[in-house]
Amino acid sequence: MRFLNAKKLQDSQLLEGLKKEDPAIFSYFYKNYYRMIEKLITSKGGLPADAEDVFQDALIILLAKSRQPNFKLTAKLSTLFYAIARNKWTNIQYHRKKFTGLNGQEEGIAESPLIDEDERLESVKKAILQLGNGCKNLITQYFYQQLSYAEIGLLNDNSPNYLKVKMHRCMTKLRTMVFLTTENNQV
Amino acid sequence: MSTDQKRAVIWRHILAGHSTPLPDMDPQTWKEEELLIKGIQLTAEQLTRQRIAKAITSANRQQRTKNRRIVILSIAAAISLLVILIFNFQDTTNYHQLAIASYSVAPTTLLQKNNQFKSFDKNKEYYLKGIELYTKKEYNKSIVFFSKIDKENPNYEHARFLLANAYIINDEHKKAIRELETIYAANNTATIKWYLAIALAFDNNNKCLPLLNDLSKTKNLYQKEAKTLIKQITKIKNKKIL
Repeated sequence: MRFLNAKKLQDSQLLEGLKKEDPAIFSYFYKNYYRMIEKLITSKGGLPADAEDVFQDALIILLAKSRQPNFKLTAKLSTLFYAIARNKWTNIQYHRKKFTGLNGQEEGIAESPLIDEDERLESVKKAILQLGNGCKNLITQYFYQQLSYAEIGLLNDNSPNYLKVKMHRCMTKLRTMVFLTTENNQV
Repeated sequence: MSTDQKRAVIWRHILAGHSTPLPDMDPQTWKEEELLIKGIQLTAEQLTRQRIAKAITSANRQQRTKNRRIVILSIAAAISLLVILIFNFQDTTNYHQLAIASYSVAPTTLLQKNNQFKSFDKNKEYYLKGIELYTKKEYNKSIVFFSKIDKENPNYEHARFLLANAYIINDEHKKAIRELETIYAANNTATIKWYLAIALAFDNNNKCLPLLNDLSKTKNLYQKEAKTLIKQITKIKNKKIL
């Protein structure tokens, strides 16, 4: 961490670290780009607290983008990060204005299906957290980090075929746990 | 195609960014799998957010520690500066130290004129008593007698010179300066100049420098001592600038 603070990292190194969710890289982003984002948000009518949220959201979006197989960096990483944060803030401002204008009527209309889905997602979340580390890591790497079986195999020293079988078992387990949680909630 | 295989096709389709199932896919299975994947992604994202928040907290903590270190270093630097200033200020007392090193008590014979007192003159008694005590190194007492002599008396200048020396020894430098300045106004010889410079140096007064400069430039009894003293004072001044 001390080493990273002192050194200016290349964009490719940052992207690699970001994909691995390296805490040192998160710190690096915060130390080097947070002021820039805060300045952007406060200059566009936001508060420092908004800047914190936008910073985190922008980092998540950048992380997701970097994991896309066809992702290619065509500008400086800081420029891309700045653009993501700016778009995010524009989006937030748009939604805030929209909901302030409707006085919450819209929320009332969309309430029931959203709550239903939220509940089911909450059940999924609970079930994932109850899974063993092996399954949790595998499904996260496959569905969130979007790594192929071959890539996961290289990281964990397993064959892709074994991982495929394991993945189906883990998903079946997860499905059962979600089903049980939903059943319990309904009772 | 087995159920697992069908599900695997659905996963790949969802991960490729499609939001609707293909015609050959079972909509119910699609819905279930889509919900699961969304849940997995949201949970993982939440964990990532926690990791980011933790990293930010750690970075902030590091920054605070760094700031604290800067404050401590600044305080240490300020204290050091203060110590240097105090040290420099104390260095001015070295004028005094130098004066002590350069000063030797004026002998009674120095500047003595022929006795111009009348017989049975009270001033003569005071003068002689003063000289006697001064010779015995009882400077405190000699001050009393020298001070009593009439200022109009022709011998008063010598008495005043010894009085000034007694004051110097008695650490009453301002009084010594006053007496020597009065004599110097009427008689600016090298001897008076030297003793006046010494009295000023004892008092840490920079006015001693022009007098010492004068003495160092012309040939006189105190030229060498004046040069040495100037050299030492210049050394102190340079040290203070540093």
